[in-house]
Amino acid sequence: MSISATYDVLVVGSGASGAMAAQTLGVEGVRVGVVDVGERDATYGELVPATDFTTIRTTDPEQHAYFLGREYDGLSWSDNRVGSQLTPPRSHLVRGTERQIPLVSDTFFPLESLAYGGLGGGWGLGCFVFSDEELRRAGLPPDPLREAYQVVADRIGISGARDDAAPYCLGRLEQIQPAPPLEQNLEGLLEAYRRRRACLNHRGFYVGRSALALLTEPKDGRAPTSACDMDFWSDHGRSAYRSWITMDTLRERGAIEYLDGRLVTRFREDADAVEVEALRIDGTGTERIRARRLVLAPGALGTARIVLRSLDASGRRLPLLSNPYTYMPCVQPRMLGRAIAARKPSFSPLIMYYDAPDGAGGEILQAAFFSYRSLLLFKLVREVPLSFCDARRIMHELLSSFTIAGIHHPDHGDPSRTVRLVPHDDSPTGDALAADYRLRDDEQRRNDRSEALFARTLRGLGCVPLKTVRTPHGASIHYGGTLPFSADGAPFTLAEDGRLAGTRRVYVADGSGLRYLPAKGITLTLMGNAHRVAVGVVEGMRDG
Amino acid sequence: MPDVALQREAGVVARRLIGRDATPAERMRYAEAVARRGIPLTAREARLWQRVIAHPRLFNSVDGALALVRPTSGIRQRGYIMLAVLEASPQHVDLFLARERARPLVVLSVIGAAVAGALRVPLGLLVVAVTR
Repeated sequence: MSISATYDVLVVGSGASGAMAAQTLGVEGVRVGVVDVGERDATYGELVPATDFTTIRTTDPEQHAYFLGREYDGLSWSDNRVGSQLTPPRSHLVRGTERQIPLVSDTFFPLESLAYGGLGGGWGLGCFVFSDEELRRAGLPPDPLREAYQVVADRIGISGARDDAAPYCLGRLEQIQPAPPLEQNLEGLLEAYRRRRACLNHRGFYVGRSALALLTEPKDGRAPTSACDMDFWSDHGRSAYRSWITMDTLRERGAIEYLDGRLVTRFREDADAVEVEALRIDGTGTERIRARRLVLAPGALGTARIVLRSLDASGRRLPLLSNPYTYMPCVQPRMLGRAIAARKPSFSPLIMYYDAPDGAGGEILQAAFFSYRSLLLFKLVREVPLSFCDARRIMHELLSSFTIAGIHHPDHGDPSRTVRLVPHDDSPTGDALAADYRLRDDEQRRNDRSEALFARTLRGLGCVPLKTVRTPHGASIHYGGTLPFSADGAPFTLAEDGRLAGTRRVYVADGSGLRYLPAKGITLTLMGNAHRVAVGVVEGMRDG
Repeated sequence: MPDVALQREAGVVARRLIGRDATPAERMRYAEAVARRGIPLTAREARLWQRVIAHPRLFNSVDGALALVRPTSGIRQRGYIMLAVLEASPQHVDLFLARERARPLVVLSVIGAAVAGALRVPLGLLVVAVTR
């Protein structure tokens, strides 16, 4: 094996964390390589028309090709409700993962990606600034993170509103674009909140517009959203932020070198540099890449694989965090029979927070609201315990009043929730990650109480939950905690600057270090942390 | 070339699901999708399926019964595929996109469909039980 390339910094992974770290490193003038597998969509990009959902549905005779998939992969029948938002045009995001990075578990069903831009290509765009208390619990320093949030917001573009939800999602972010249009179903919910605002605020509930990484004004060659409700199917105009947009820009500017088709398996440190071993996906063997610093950002599970192999610790169990996720399909009777606006974004534009009024140190809870339409009716019809004929008639009538509330639950960690490497004959690396994830009874009871609290409040707002659907663990697509931040330098932990304990040149910029996941989306925080780690890497190199 | 029997089957299922014929292209898509997705029927399901295709009026009753007792059966999956194919087609968009309607009519329609659905179940359960 010869050395194929040498860099100042090598970043592993091009997802939300990897792309953001690469951008920070790239603008600092160091020679940056980004390495990953880089799966791409070669089928659907040109197929989806750049127009609104209703026009497509009523006019395009070829819509089945992307709504159902060329291979009818959009018709998958599985009781496992993980990745239901991965439409056929997004299916490349998870392509190859079962073979290249297998995970075995009876209790944990995560989504991982080997795609160019990673899982950021399917991000729901919700931006949530962690409070100082949440940052401290997660092991992140509040002051640098607050600065990092603003840097990330300036790069990706965030829209939102200074309303009752802003303290919980926007925090102190500045330069925010106006919120996108709100269709009448969710406008009805917001109006109901406004009428009962004083009473609800007294009980600790706040409703407002979500902060979204969705442009409503032009930015850096990207177009404002056309609100065509096709966001789960295409990225026309690049109004929705995707990590590959950052990667494309960095490559066009020559700020990074991108090495695709490579699965990084392990690293080895010597006196002068870090050497990374990567399997070529085309089967032509293994190669080595050298760098003065290594930044791992393939996601908490991917990083766990690489670190366990590199430190010859395949039997070792690492902790695992993931937000349990529940959704509640709801009906707003007052909206029955109303038409749905043709123009609306698909992403969650409305959000509710619960912040216990007694200040008892309780956690902030969050429910995000979606109007269901562009993921098509047949998937909903399946959930009704009647014949398809009758279920379709019912869901067709209810569609205009249909709202889905998505609830993330926090994860403080538990010693029983772990990942470890196990032998696996079919894997190109000879191993698989084995995961165990179960909630304790007291955690499940706490989550039950949170769901009941939201259900009661929603009913009070005229939004009636029909069902509570607890998705399998891992469905939130939020993972972390495998190499928790620790000040004591214990093995398999990270120092505050992201450096892996026991190494001098290896840094981790994804969610591996988080010691706690609050009940909200983590992507903005992952990007902020990646920027912070990259800043530290550059400063460390300057200091020698 | 997709199975001709599957295409015939598509016509029967479409009529029971939405009260309309499937177009030739939709029948072809159903046949392709069933072939590609590889939906196996157990011996008992195959006999039940033959019965409902031969007696299409039984389809919705059997489907309703299976929704309660065996929601993941191959028969349900075939109905699901046909419904998806019909939805992803501009011909039947009026049956799948939200429409503006008086609220009392919506309520009556929902109640009507729920009652009809419930009433179908006993017959469906009987057919499922006697098909061995």
